[in-house]
Amino acid sequence: MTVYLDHNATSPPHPRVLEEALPLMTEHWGNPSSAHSLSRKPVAAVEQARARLAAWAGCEPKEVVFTGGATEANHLALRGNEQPGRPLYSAIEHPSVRAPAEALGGVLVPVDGQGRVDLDALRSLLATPTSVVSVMAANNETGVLQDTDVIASLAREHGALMHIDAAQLVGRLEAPAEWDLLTVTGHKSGGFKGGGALMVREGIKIHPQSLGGGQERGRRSGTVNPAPLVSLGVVATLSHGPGVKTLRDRLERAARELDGIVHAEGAERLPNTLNVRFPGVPGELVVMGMDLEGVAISAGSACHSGASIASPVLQAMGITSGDAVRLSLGWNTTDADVDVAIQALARVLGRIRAQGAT
Amino acid sequence: MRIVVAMSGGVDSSTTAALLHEQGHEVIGVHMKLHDADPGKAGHCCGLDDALDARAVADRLGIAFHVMDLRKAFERAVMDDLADTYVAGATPNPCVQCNGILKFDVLLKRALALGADKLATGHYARIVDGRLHAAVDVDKDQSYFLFPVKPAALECTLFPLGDLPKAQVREHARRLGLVTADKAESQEICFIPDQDHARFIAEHRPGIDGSGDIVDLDGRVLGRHDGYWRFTVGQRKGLRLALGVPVYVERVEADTHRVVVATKPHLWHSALEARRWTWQDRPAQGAVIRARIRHRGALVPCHLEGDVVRFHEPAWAVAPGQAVVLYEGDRVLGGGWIRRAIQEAA
Repeated sequence: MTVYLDHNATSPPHPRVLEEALPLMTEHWGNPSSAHSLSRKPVAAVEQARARLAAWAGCEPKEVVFTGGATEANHLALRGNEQPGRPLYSAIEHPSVRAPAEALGGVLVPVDGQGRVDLDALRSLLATPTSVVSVMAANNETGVLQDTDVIASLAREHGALMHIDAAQLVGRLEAPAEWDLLTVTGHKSGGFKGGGALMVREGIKIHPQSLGGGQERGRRSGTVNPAPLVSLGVVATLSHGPGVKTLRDRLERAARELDGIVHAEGAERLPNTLNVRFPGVPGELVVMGMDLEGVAISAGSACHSGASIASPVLQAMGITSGDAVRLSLGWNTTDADVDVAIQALARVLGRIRAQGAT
Repeated sequence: MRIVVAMSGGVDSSTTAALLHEQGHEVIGVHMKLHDADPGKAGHCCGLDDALDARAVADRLGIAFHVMDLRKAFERAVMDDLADTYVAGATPNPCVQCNGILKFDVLLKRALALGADKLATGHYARIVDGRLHAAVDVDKDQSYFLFPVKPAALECTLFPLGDLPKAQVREHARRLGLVTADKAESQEICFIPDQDHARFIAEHRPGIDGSGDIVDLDGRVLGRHDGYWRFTVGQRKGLRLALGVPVYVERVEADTHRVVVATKPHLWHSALEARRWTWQDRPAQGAVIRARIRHRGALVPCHLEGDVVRFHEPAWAVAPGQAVVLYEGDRVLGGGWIRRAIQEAA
């Protein structure tokens, strides 16, 4: 694979991540909970990661609960909070929020055609007692950014907690200012898979979902896994420069010239994400054609690939056709990568259209 | 050449991919996801286990592999057609529909769109001078199922197994270490794992009632049935009649819901009328050719008069909705969809 444009699925490890986190798998492999000296390096590394994450999120290190990833953090946020009422969650949430929220009798908050939470609908739903409002900071498929400060103040006015899934935000942009529960993972921006965290504001009681060794101040039992957590700490110190947006915008212009329709173009979006459909051209066929050209992209989102209907996220925005593809750039994307991708896209679309394939 | 191989997860398509890969071609494996039927049951051909088997073979060969979601197209062209045909009182042939539309139209276009020179499948048939022929292994021959594939599509198609006996295909699969080498055959309707098509119709056409009388040739009521689409011309099972003499379904009347039964001699047909022909090479009117009216059925000498195939010896139980395929030697001349059976006094 020569060109990788699927960072929202997962991202190649950043060199600084490898430099800092790999020694925890090779030399400093000790259990951070041990009493002997072999625990010292891993403990120091994990605590540094905690401090880095807290600095990004604007909170105290003790408010960081490390987990095995964003799915686990989302479960801790939804199933672990003891606030009375039912959860509200937006129509574009990741399945790892949607599924536990549904199971708790949660109610879905609609979004507009640009994928932004419908604030009027949220207001009226908040009239019924609500435990938590769960909204993602940046959508994995479209990159749409939510106005989480406004949503958080609405939630709090009605006595509900604000949970933000920021899995696609860390390592790219600034953290949201207002939150009570904040989910992150490192592997979308150069970290390892298997490292996540839920930030829990001081004073909020969270019920552990795993019991046992009492790690993470009793809020998440299970042996602390230093390498991915340290990688997450490194990611929290990274951010997208203006370069990523310039590259994405160039790709977006090229897609439009190939008769692409950009989704959520009217909304504030992550600078790295392009979700576009080419009417009449099956998305999965574009993905396969690009793969043969050596360019990795995805149809909809990686978790839903293989379905020729629009993903639930796009359906919530009123898009029904299964023609969408997602190109997501990252820390290692170059100008030359974008050149290759644009040329490949033109060839792939040209062939599909010439054959009239459906 | 760049060749897309349709990989169902069975031994035939696995071996097809392996042989073409061995010959040095750039092979791209594609598994068509066609439906959501429970893959745990026997008789399936495109469930999850099969997709995993196909992927395992592709990984073993080190070739590209993709799953294509063609459920919508399959539902329209094959599943709806099956229900509609049964409800119209005829006997559908979903495999022919799947080949004609899904494999050699939708998939073929997609393969060419991926820059492939050819589409290859594990069918037992041959393409000689651009024309469809029966396979060397007459027991495995699938040319009957392939008649709607147009000559233009055949130009972009390969059937690498058409020259091989089945036993040799399995030998190749074992030699190449394919996990599918000893897999059982799948020949039933892949999207109805329990083969209960009446249940399928009840689920896909909710509220429909097909119950009616079972009558003899004179219209005398002999019994009741709970859905005329359960019956096919030539069928003996499921009539639940005790007449002292074996009777068979002679015809199914969708408009009256009547299932007409008769003794065996009444089901020897002298001709049939077919429509929606696909011609490879249209035979001269009156030329002596041979007809096949069901998969693996006998080849019956006949000639063509317009849309009527006139048999030179009687053919048993011509079923409307099935295909008639015409051969000259082992070359397929074309085929059509049977509209009605014709019985004339000899």
